[in-house]
Amino acid sequence: MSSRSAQTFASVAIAMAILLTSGCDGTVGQRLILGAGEGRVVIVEATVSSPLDVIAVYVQLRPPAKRIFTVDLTDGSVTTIQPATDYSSPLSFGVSDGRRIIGRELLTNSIVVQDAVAGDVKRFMEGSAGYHISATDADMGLALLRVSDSPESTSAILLDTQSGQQRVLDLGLVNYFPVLSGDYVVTFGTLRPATFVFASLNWRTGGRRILATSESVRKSAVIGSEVFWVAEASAGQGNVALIARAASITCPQDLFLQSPRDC
Amino acid sequence: METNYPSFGFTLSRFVDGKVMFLEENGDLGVFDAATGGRETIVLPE
Repeated sequence: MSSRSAQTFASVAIAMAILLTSGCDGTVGQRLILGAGEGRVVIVEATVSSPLDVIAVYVQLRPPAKRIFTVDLTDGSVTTIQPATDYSSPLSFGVSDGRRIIGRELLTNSIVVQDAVAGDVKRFMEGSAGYHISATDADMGLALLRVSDSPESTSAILLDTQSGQQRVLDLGLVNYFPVLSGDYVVTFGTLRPATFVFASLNWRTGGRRILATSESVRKSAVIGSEVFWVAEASAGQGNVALIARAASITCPQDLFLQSPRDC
Repeated sequence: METNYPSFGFTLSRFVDGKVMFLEENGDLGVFDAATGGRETIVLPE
């Protein structure tokens, strides 16, 4: 069996598994926020209505995502485009910086960069962006691609979505969903021995910093390229969010463990 | 910055320009202003 055939077989198997686990109710996903930035929010709409649709999705007979909505937050206007590929699949997941959508195309094993308003498409890394590459965030024309070619991988790739230029980064920890904010890549992941941390890497200078190390970090999540982490904790009737922005990176590393405050 | 943060679900929300974006149950875009606590909805196409 060729590599392509093996991938297709695996994809169909995964597709059927998703269909079965979705309860066969005719719907796999609806709308998903791919990203936000530069005053815009990009949303993908993906509706799969039959088993044949699911198979078609994963052998790339047609893109499963029906529409892309780009919302301009300044006036509330919405632009609709057709997706170049499936940005809603876990295998080709899309991210956006508000201006572009970045995802992986299964058929060509390439990274697709699509203009979120005009719909124009570019492809990079053709033939080399396999299952071990996934887009996790985008900011200001750069895309962050996680590399998971081994369980111990700590690598990521920074891709210039205009020129295609690539820079390989060592994030220094096994990472789950790194985010990109200007010069910083912020990662939630594990160090050895297994310790959950939030850590940052200045990709221009190579400088690293552990932002937080705590059991409570387990309850946190990075939700956007402007936010380094959000710590959710029980606080009376509501949740308390500690929102740290790029400027906060100069704060003491134990900020997280203290009372939430502006830094 | 400390704020009351509704449980929108982290994985479905994004943060931009001081506002948390999330999808309403009917598929429209919800916007939560973290500073003021204000909340609005932007209607998306059916």
